[in-house]
Amino acid sequence: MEINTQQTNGVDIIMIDATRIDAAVAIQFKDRMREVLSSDKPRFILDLQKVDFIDSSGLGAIVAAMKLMPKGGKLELAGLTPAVDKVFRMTRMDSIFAIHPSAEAATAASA
Amino acid sequence: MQAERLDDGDFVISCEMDSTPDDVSTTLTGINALLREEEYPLSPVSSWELVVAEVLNNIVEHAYQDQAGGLILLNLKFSTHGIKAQFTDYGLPMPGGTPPDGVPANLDVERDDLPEGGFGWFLIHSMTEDLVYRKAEDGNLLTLTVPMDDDPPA
Repeated sequence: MEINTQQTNGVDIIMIDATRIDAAVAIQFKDRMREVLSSDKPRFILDLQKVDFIDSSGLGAIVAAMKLMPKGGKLELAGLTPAVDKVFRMTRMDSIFAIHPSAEAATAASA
Repeated sequence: MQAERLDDGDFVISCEMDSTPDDVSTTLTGINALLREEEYPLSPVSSWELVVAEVLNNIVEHAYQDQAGGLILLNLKFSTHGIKAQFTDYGLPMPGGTPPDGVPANLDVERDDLPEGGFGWFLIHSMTEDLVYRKAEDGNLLTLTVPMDDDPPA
């Protein structure tokens, strides 16, 4: 799974270059996220704009990644497509994560 | 994978796959491609793929205990009324002979105690009707319907 990071306005953005986060890639996703998050930054934006399908394994992997953040650190989400947004709403996980319309909006909000 | 457009406009897809997450993912991607080719009209947030993925993941994980080499048969019928799905596997039966209820996960906990799983049956029940499970002579049969109007306009 392709995961790329970049900095915008001093905020680290993690771009998921994949269309699916499902049971087939959930472990790989967690492993890659562990590497990325190990840089110990206080705030990351997970950009999901390319992801058009997520299942409960993928959702669980994102929750697991969030727990890897140091106490007080934030893993926020951006660019949820309709199907991904629906899974977060149905499971009420949208109440756990800060969710931004886009990575641009997320970085502007912090400026 | 076999697909057929019936005279009444319904679109039927039948396929089989191995009991691995990779095969489940490949199958769903293939079905999506067929639906696009057929230009079958579906809402962008149609729940069929999520429901089917959750059921297939459960079969891989529980009926076949995460072991490859188990056969899964899937039949999908897309119609104006909704999507009927039928799953057949030859693995372990559902414990107690019935699918789990699927209660919403408790999120009122400390961050480190937030659930990373257990959403599957809650999602399946939330998005389906007419869910029937039957232990047949040599396998498990699950049928369900994903109603067409399960996606009210935002």
